[in-house]
Amino acid sequence: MYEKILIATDGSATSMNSSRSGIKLAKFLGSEVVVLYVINEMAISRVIAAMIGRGFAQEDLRRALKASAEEVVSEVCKMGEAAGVRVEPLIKEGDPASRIVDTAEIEGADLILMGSHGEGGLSSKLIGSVAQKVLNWSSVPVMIVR
Amino acid sequence: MYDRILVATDGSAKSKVAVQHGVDLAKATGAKLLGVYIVNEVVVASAVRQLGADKKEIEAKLQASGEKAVADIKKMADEAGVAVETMVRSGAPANAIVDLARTEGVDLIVMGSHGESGVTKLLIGSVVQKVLYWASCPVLVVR
Repeated sequence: MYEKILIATDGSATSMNSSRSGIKLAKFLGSEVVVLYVINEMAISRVIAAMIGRGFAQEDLRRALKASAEEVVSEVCKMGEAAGVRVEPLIKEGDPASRIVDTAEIEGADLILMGSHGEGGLSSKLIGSVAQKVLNWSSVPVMIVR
Repeated sequence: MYDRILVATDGSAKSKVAVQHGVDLAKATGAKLLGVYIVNEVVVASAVRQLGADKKEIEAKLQASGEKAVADIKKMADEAGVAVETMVRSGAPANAIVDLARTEGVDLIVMGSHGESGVTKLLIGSVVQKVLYWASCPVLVVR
């Protein structure tokens, strides 16, 4: 039924869990998967501002963020391999919610699957701000996994 | 992967789209479907208090539209060859849906992004918003 599932992850425990159920669902439905990690541009600029003058080069920081993003998506790709599901890895920079919604459109995904909270998730919030925005803006169905 | 999928309906056209997703998912994953309509007790109370409606009468009306809505779910499930059970309950919709999901051991809730009372300027309906807050299982929101 869903041909292409966009799994959004930020490497947090909740989102790795939801990625796992996304892969499982894709296997059941015979769907393709795109796994997306968005490097949060706001977070980058804040970190850069805080680190400047302390011996950190902007390039190093970007490289480190990219490397950790790659690690996360490759972990989801491995889950896919183990389950026999085709997973295409994607890493983008920008505002996470906007990028997730855009990417779903660009890639022709017919389902977005994500965790209720990501790394920035204050546990006091009942649902994370990224999930909330994706729910508000997406034109395709969204599955929120706790 | 899912044993039991709850689809919540309020009988609106939008929730029918969500029901179809629930039916298709149940078929694909071999899950049983639980079709639910909640008679909104807040609507009943305000109709009685503010409009002077007869409580029994308004409840019976809502109960009847609930029966019709879940009968539609049953029909869609039957056509797809999906095992289905339906319920019409009374309560505050979001609370009742989340409670039912818990007591019935549901592992996925499927609902539309807006229901009948959907104020279109809200990006997402209040019932689905609360279900997202309170549910302990995954929630699929269908536009």
